[in-house]
Amino acid sequence: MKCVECLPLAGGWKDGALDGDAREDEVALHVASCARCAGQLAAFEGVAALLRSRLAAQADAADFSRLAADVLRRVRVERKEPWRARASAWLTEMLRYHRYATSGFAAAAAALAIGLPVLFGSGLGSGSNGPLAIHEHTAANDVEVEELEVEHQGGTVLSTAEGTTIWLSPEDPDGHEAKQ
Amino acid sequence: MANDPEVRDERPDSELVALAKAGDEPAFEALVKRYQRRAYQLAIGMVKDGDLAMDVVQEAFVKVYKYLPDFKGDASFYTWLYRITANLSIDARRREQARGGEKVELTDRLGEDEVVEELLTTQAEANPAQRALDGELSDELEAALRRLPEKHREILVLREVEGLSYEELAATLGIKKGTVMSRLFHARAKMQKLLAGYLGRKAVSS
Repeated sequence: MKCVECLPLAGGWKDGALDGDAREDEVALHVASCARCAGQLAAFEGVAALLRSRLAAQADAADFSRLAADVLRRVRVERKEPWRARASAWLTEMLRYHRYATSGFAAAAAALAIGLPVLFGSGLGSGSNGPLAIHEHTAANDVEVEELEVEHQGGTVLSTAEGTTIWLSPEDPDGHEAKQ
Repeated sequence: MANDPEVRDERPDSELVALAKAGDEPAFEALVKRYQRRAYQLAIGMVKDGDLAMDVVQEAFVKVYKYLPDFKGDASFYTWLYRITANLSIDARRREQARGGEKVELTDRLGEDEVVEELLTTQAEANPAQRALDGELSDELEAALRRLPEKHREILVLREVEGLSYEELAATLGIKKGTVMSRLFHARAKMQKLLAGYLGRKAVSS
């Protein structure tokens, strides 16, 4: 057996993965008689030992003081409110990667801006909210929304730069809009 | 810190698992504290930094709790935990790569013959660990690990740190046992190549 044939198998042989394999004795004989392959095997083990030392040192230096409590907090949420756990996991993931977070927050803000009037307009809100002022420029119709007022549970008033006011009636099942 | 004295709970895993399945939080907490360090050591070897490794470990324990009712006990609790941790680490690393947060520079362009030739023309110091693991070498080791292709990094950590058998590696990574041997060889060779400048290599006449 040549070095080039032996060395790719030598690690497996040393790890015991060639036990009972036809090549086991050949590799053993070669390693016993070849200083270079024996040295290379020892070098592999040296790097492995370094790796173990390094990772063990990192684990020793880590702070686990909050881990169990954090895990338990999450499993309680998971147990009681699985939807909230999923939302929390999504938010955590989003925050970790700011690039995604930026677009996510933009999407969330847009969803909020659109969703709030719909929510209140459909009667799901408390109806006791005060005026909510937003400033939004929409490219689609080039209308600047200056103010959004949720007057009461029965409707929503939207003011634009042109002075247009749109009232969204919750009683209207087709969601028709009335311009004033 | 890592070896918190309150971690010591002498009850066997099987008893703690049974209690945790029945909703006993202190039993589950004891399992978390018993294995948090090992799980972290595995994760830190596979992902890019300590914060992400801690997140992976936390997620792994949450998943363990969630699927505890399905745990039959065929494998040991830790075997189950490391599989979950390893899979989450692999997922986390892939997400990092997909988002361009990490670049893997080494490729599999060399065949086994060329790798062997390269290894044998110079030979690394056999026992670098006998030297103090100084800061520079330590940093270099971490950087080398990061530069390894994902498949080489994961197999190296699972074998050299976790001590998984070839059969366990094949099952965990979803590859054949023969592929395990070949992949490990390439992983070890690449790691050695990356650390060449720090291992006190000496020329060896061929």
